[in-house]
Order: sequence, then C-alpha cells, then structure tokens
Amino acid sequence: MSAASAGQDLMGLNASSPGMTLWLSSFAWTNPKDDANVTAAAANLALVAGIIASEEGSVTNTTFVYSAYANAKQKPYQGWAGGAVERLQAASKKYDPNGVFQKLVPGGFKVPT
Amino acid sequence: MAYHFLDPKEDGLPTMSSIMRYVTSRPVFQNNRLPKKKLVLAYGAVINVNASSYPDLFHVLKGGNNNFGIVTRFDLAMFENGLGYGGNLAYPISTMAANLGVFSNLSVPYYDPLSSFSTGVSFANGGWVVANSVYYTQDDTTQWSGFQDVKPQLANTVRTLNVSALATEKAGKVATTNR
Repeated sequence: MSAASAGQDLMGLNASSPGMTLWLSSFAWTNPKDDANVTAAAANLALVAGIIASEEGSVTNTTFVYSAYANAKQKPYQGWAGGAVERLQAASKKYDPNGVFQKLVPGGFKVPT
Repeated sequence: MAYHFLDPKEDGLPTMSSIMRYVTSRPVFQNNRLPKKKLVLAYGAVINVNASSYPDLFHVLKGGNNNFGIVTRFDLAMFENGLGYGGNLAYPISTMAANLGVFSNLSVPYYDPLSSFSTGVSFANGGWVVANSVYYTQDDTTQWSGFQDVKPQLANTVRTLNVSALATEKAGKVATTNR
C-alpha cells in the first residue's frame, strides 16, 4: 500500500481516470407505511441500472459508488480502487482500536470488517 | 439527478453543499478543499489533522465519513470568483431523448472545469418533467445553447448570476415531504 500524497482521497479517482456521469435517484413520500416499498424500489433501481450499464459495456468503472449518494444496501468503500478498505481498516485499528465509532455511533457506512 | 418542482420552501437559503457542487471541479478544490481539520478521537484526544500532521488519517478522512472521530473545526480553501452564467430549464417529458443527447455531447470528450450541469427526470404532481440545472463559472453567455435549443420549455431561468443566487433558486425546488 503506497503512501498517499496530500492531494489524494480515498475514492481512487484521479485526473487521468475516465470520465464518469454521476447518477442520483431521489425519492420523496409522506406515508410511513410506504417506507419499505420505497426503499426497496430505490435500492432495486440502483442495482438494475448498474447491471444494465455493465451489460451494455458503456461504463468503464462499474464498481464506483459515491458514498454521499449511496443507499443503505450499497457498499461504496468496496468499490473504490487504490486500497480504500485496507486504509480504512488500518486507520480504524490505529486511531479507534476499541471500535467506538464502529459500535457506539449509529449510522453511516462503517469500516468493512 | 432528479429533483422535484413542488412548492418552494419558505427559507430557501443556500447551503454550503449546494454552492459547492458548482465549483468543485476547480483545481484548488481537488482533494484539498479542507486542508486542515481538528478532530476529537475516541479516547478524547483532540488533534490537528492535515497533510503533514497525521497524514494517514488526513487521507482516510477524505471519504471515510464518520468512522474516525468528530470534526470540531475545519478550514475551507477559498478562491475568488465573479459572476457566472446558468439557471434551471424545465421541459415536458417528450424532450427526454433530445435532452439526454445534449447531456451526452457535453459530457465527452473534453473536460471543462468551469462547466457544471445536471439533467434529470422528475415525477411530481402526477406528471413527469425533464429538468436541467446548469452553471458556467464565468459569465460566458455563449454557453448552454444545446439545452436552450431543446423545445418546448416549461421554464427557463438561465441568466448571468452568482452561485449563491443559483443555490437559493434550487433550494426552493427541493421536495418538502417528510420522508
């Protein structure tokens, strides 16, 4: 795992990465009874869109997911090139060895185990 | 990106994130938008994190979300920018193919860091609309002719403006349902 320069982030993209289109689907509803159906439909839409794009061969990077737009069923870190998961695990072990931010802080995409 | 043309919010103040999305392709923002952060760790230590202080943590905090600590302060890199040219355009759903064609042509093959745009289809009030949100970070009125040429249009606010005016305009179009 190489040392990171000041300009790098965890997402594994850089100036020479192929261009990508950022796609977001956003849902708004009022009835709590619809929660399960809407969240399932949203997750399914993302999944199917990824499959279709992959099958068409028009997408060069089929694993990248932008975490700020991801739904709870997606796994953004696992799709980032450049050792994102290993860096997260190493930093978590070093700076949060008791896993406070993994176990006591609810919400957000946790460090993959 | 899909958003909804529902009733405007009462307090459509521009948020930091809504302004940031129009300028994040600028080099000064590339991965160094927040060059310094103050972080509280799990065992109570308060540390300063930047490119030379805890560089491994500096790296994972750019994308690592809330996994390492509580950020209590950050410095934000700034640059001066004047007026830009952009706005929002709305069309009936019949224009979807034409709009996606313009979007596709604008997306490749060259990359203009001054240009920012999104095209979306949105379902609201029982119907579908196509909506473009565009902003060129210089006041270049030759921009956006592709989207301007697609007809018919339901609305068109493209004009010379600054980024906060555009963010306020977009804030007024966000869905206000509670879920």
